[in-house]
Amino acid sequence: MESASSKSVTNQPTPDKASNGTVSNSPLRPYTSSSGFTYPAIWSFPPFFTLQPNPQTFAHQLTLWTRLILSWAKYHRVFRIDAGAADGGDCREVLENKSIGRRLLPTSIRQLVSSMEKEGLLSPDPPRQPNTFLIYWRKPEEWGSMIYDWVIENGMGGSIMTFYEITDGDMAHTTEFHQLPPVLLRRSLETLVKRGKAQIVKGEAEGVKFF
Amino acid sequence: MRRGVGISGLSRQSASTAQYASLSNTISTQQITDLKAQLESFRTALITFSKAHNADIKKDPALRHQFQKMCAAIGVDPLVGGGARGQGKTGLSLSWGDMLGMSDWTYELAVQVVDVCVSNRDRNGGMMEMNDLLKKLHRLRDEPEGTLSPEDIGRAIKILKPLGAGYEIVQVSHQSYVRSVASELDTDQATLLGCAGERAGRLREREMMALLGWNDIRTRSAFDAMVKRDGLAWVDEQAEGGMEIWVPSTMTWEEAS
Repeated sequence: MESASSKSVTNQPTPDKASNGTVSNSPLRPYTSSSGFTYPAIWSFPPFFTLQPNPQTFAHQLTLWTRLILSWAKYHRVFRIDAGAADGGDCREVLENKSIGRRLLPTSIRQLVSSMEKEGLLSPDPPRQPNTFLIYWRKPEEWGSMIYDWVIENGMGGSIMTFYEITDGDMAHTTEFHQLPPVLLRRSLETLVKRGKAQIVKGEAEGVKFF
Repeated sequence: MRRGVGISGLSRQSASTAQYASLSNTISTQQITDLKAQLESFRTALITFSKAHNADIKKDPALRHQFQKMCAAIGVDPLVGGGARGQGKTGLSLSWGDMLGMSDWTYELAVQVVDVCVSNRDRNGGMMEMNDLLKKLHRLRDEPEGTLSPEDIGRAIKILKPLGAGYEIVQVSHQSYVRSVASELDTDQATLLGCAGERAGRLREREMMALLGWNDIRTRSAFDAMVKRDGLAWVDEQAEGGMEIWVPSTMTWEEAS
């Protein structure tokens, strides 16, 4: 992304040499990208991109990274992370801060990904491989409930809808699950099936019936 | 007084000495009684004052400081109370804190100091720069900047002592830090902390070696101790030109509100 414009240059934490030879302590500030997403100040802190050897610091750092990735993905409606790609695939923008020349390196990305997977915030897709993951900035249960509430509110309970209708139909444009990836939609609907609120119907196109 | 001659003169002199002594006793007893009464009324006035201006005392650091000084002058500790001190000197001063209504205020502040220090410990390794701490406390308490002073923090930390939490204010080259971890800051670390304060938090290994005249082993082990052992600094492995560490507590952070 090419939004590393003049704005990001002022964000440089690199100290400025003042005339008296000492260094002024310019604060680390949150940075708002051209897309409108605001990165926390620590994203401009160079060592944030090196996983820290101290266990407490490391745990804190992982928490901050996890939070950042989830909020970033939610803001941009990014649903996947590719831990196998050297740059993190769809997530490269958040994993690299070009204005300070730092990025999370592949081994660090893997560590972060496995930590998030343990917390149930990432789920491998396809299953049982270590590279591509769905990002659960909303859990399938939450998507499921959201879809169910929307179906009932719009008086479509009892009718059969195709998968496509739910995420891409005329009525779906204003919903948060507009263009939800099919695999995530399926996992969300499966949580409704488990709760006895929906049944998946196999036909020409896959559909679902809500109760 | 003219001293008379002979025995009678001598006895007259000793009699008047005794009289003078007794007179002076009466006077000092009278004075002490007066002083006690004055002190008592001063104390009463102090209580009345503190009750009437409780809100102002809590709001205005200058007034609070004056008030503390006045209290200290007559041997009253307006902050002690609630029984957390328990070092024999309780009794009277215990009730003073409660009467003047300052102890609750300070306990609340102490709890908030702990809250802020602990919440930031994972990031800064338990060293919290004073101004940064004050800024975060003001935000937490929803009070304008300047409501709290470093002296207030000092008093709050003092009442944390019996808890054995090891909270302490340490001075590193013109900067005050509140340290919330019990480990000692060795001299090399203190030196580096001071340098970091002058360099916006960033320490380059080579620069420090040249500046401080340390050899590579001493520099590296001091860096390692700050990063690995104490979590006071974060290492940046992507820096060009040698090892670099950053000390977050010496940097200014602005977070989105």
